[in-house]
Amino acid sequence: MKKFFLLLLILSGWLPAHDIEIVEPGAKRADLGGVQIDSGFYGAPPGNIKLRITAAGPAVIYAGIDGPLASAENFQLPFDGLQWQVYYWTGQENGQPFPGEVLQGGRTNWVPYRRGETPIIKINQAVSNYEIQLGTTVRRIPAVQPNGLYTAKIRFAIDDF
Amino acid sequence: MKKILVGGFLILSLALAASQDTVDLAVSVIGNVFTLELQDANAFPAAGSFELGSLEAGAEEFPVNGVIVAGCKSNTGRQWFLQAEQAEPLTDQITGARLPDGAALVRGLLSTRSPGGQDLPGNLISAPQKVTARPVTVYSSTFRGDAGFNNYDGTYVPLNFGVKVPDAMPAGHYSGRVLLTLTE
Repeated sequence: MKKFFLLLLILSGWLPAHDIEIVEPGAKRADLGGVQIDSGFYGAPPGNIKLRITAAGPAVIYAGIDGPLASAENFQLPFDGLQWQVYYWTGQENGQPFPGEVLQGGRTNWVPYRRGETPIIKINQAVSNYEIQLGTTVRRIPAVQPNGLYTAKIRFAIDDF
Repeated sequence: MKKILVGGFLILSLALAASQDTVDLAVSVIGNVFTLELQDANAFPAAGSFELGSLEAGAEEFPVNGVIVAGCKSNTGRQWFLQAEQAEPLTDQITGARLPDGAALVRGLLSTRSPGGQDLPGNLISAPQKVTARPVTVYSSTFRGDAGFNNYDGTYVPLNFGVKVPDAMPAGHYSGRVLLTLTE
């Protein structure tokens, strides 16, 4: 029994001290609805994503996408066309968005989701219930894009800074 | 002891799962396009007619003036074909003399206007073909309708029209009409 509790204590020292949770959209699914070919900038409000963060110390929030928006027939939307924009984060003193430029109105530039991990927010210190809100947009539906339901998985992660 | 072990592993697994989360995103693309637009060699809308210039009897030429670009746009995701046919034969309106069927010619040009100079993904017939009253295919898309090519902005097929003048053809000004069709 003592050895077991000692093992649990050692393992808890290795447990990540950060937590990230997607609060919106509900059911963690954003359905942007029907979008016409040869048009663009679809996203709000169904594409709005709210994250709630707990960090034990300085940390970085990352966003990434596993692959392009693709249909069952493997037609793909332009890979750089799915983009994010941070428009709210809790307290300037606690964190700053990447790439650092904040536009007038408190929003960042639109940045394409990419494979792997792209840093979106740097958190300076331990925080609890830190909130980040992002907009997501499909920048452009090309003129000859085949009809269909296109899906993708957006991933958010937190790690030590 | 077993309950403690199970509880411990459960807590451990819940804690390990908290450092990332995912959102499933979906968008439905709607709307249909199946159009053909003609442009001149400078990407301006085609005037609708062009002069091949002066040719001598017995000559076969593809004048630069005979270049036209067919902008093919289809989002069906299925194979399509660009065809040419003689709608009105080349005729001298004054004398009534007519060039024989098949005197008008067409060939695909291997240069492209897509970004980066990419080769057309389908099958372009670059050998001269006779333009007759029966449609001939000058370009076949891929089985998926050239999906993905040119950033899904359509396939622009450069064509060069020419003429083979018979040896004993009387001099004159001959005009006619060629029909280009986009079809599945």
